[in-house]
Amino acid sequence: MLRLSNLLNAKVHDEGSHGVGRIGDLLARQAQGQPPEVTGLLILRSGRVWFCETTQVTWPENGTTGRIVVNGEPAPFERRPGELLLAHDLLDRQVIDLTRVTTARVNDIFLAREPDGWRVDAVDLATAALSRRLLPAALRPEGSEQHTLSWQDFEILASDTSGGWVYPEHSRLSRLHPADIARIADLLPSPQVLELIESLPDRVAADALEEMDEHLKGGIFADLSAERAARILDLMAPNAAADVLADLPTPVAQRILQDLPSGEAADIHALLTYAKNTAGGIMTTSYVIAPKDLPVREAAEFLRPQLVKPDWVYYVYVVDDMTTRDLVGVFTLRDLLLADQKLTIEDIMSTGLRTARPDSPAEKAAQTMSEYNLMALPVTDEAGRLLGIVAVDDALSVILPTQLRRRVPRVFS
Amino acid sequence: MSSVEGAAAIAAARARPGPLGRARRLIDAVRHPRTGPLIYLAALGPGLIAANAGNDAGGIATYSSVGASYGYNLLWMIVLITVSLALVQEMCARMGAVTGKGLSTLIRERFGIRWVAFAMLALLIANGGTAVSEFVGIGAALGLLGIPTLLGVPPMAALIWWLVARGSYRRVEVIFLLMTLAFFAYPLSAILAHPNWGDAARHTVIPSFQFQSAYIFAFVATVGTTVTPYMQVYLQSSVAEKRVAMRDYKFTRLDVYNGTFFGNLVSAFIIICTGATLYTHHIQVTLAADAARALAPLVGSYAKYVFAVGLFGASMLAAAVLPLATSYSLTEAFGLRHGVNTRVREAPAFWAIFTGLIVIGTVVGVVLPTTAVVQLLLVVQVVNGVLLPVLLVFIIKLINDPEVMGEYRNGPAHNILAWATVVAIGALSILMVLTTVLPAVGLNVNL
Repeated sequence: MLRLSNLLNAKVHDEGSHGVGRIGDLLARQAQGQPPEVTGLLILRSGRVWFCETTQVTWPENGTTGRIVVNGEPAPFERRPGELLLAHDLLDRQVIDLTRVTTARVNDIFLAREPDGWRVDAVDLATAALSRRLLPAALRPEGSEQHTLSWQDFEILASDTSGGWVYPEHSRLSRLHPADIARIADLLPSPQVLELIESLPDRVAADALEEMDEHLKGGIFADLSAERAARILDLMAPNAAADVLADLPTPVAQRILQDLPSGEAADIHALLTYAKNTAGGIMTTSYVIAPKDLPVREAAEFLRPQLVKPDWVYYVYVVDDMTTRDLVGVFTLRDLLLADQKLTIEDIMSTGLRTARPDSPAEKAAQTMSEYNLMALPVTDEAGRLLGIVAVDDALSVILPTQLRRRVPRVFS
Repeated sequence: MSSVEGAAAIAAARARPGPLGRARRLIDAVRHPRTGPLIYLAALGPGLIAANAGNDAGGIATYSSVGASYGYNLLWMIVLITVSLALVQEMCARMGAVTGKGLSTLIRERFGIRWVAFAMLALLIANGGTAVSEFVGIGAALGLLGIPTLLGVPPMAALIWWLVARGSYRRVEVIFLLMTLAFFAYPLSAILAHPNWGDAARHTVIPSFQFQSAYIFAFVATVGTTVTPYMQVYLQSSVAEKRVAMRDYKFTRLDVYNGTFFGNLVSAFIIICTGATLYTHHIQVTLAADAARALAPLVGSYAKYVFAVGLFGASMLAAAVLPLATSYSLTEAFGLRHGVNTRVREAPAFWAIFTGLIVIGTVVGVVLPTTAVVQLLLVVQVVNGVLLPVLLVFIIKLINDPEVMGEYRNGPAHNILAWATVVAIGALSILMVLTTVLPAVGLNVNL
């Protein structure tokens, strides 16, 4: 194992033992699912940057001490995508620590020797690595604190690499829990949050954005292209999408709305007419309904298409008519599974539902849900027609102040 | 759905908040403004804080001494410094908005660990001195109210530590902010003192210079207290933390210019006020009580108390912010854990620097004799002035770096003015060393 800081500024010789310059940086090539392989050296000589392939380099026998020899002529250096400059792009930069779900600063880089050359093995996050680079040996504090992060446990932020790094199609970030992605976003500078969202597949981006702080979320949507913003909004719960649009400057929101599929746009349109802190403002239009005369044995087949979109389903609401949607009762999916196959939905549903009006306060809806132990509360108009449901997670965020959830406190503003 | 309908729906959502919703919506809009004049209101924050912080204990002491010793002679310099300050603050705010990163982070990422260590050492010395001077200010304010520093400073320091560590500082900060309103007595007092406005105006536009060590010392101190290094770092972090986007940057920039203008207008009035009162009566500012007498034309024998309240509020504000911001910048630069939400055991370096600065400030605030207060405050500002070019060079280098700023780099005019500021302050510092230090070690310089 070799530290990058030991190589930087080391003297490079030619075959005739003449000094040809010092090591300015190491070039490593991005490989799918593999740690980057060191492919070349940047040599600084009299104020100019030269490049030579690792195949031209003879490393000292014991790895670290001894003479680094370059065979042949160095060439002028040019940047190519997919190539990382280790000192410039990674050392002293912030990376995403995937294991602890936070950000970390790279204090040194470990290279591992392989039969055919060097590979990036891990980054050193320990403060001791800093004092190694800063202080002469005699002045370094004692203690051998270890804190390394191996290659598969961190992600590089591509904007730090001036185009050198390209996010792989299925980045390791996209496999994190959406709440974890949102937590990392809280810790990153705004331009890098945008870059992070842009690198994620639509589905993951939509889930992560739903978890984010309003201000941050609004900023991201204002910066995304209208088509991408519409694709992501389409995948979000309609109430979450409506909240985002209501917060955006009108011209931006208009552009995004134009790109939304008409069904989704109509739902959002309906939701936008309610103020944020009302039951209508926090309700969602993804719910599942069944007509009351439906036979139980046909119910599963009938409901299946409706079960795709919502994040979770617990209740099925029973209506008189599938188009007017007059709410008459409710049953749970468990009721359905346990029900006698000879009955109809009307026989197994419960009546006397608790409901809310769209303009009643959100707090009151949340209280009702807590009092009657409901997982969702239907919202109806004066005529008793179903408009939407308040889901338990949205009710929870009304009751629990944001401070109690994930939040980075402000120091400077 | 057509976009017209969509826009109508959005407008309806905004226009029809429920009875409960209205207050909530207003709070939301102020906290996270997206449109209209509210963005401007919310963006006012950092600029006003920065403008206010210029008039902390060190600021008041410096402007008062300058006015008392040289009358209106240095007013022309305030004009130049205002231009420089606006320039520098705008660059820092722009860097914060474009990169979303703090200055110490950018220095480390672009120049490496050695340079950031060097920059942070300069910042620690400058900020450390300023932090100490705030506790001296608390002591002086309490002294004017008849409370001995030994009884007054330690409890206040403990209170500050506790408020910040508990995270409740933000809630009480407004009390100290209100106290600083006492300093609006300066412009009023200045008017009542019937200054020679013609003289003041002439000195504002016509430069004059004296090759004297005391004069140059006062000059550098004024630069140091007006263009404080800490303020630039703070402003950048604040803009980054607020996640100000470039599309909203025009409001932030306007705010920076406003804050600079009004902050320095107040400074100019302090000089005019002390110039019209203390200078005309040949009173040098050696004690805090001397400085307070400048407010006599407005509040008579209560001058001492009005001055003490303002000084106390301003010092308490800065005494909390400086140790916190310093500790934040340093730990951020070295990638150590930091933040007011961490426990002492989780982020030992962060809390050690924060606590250390408060303890040193308290000790100095208690043991410093009353007669040395003004002198110490001035020396701290001079140190700030001398170290300022170090940070300015980093700031100018970074703001011209295409990898950092992209299309938002400085234009040529901006650069010329920025480098002129660095050269002028650097030259003054060298001149000051030549005229102050060399004679003190027995070398004669003839200028």
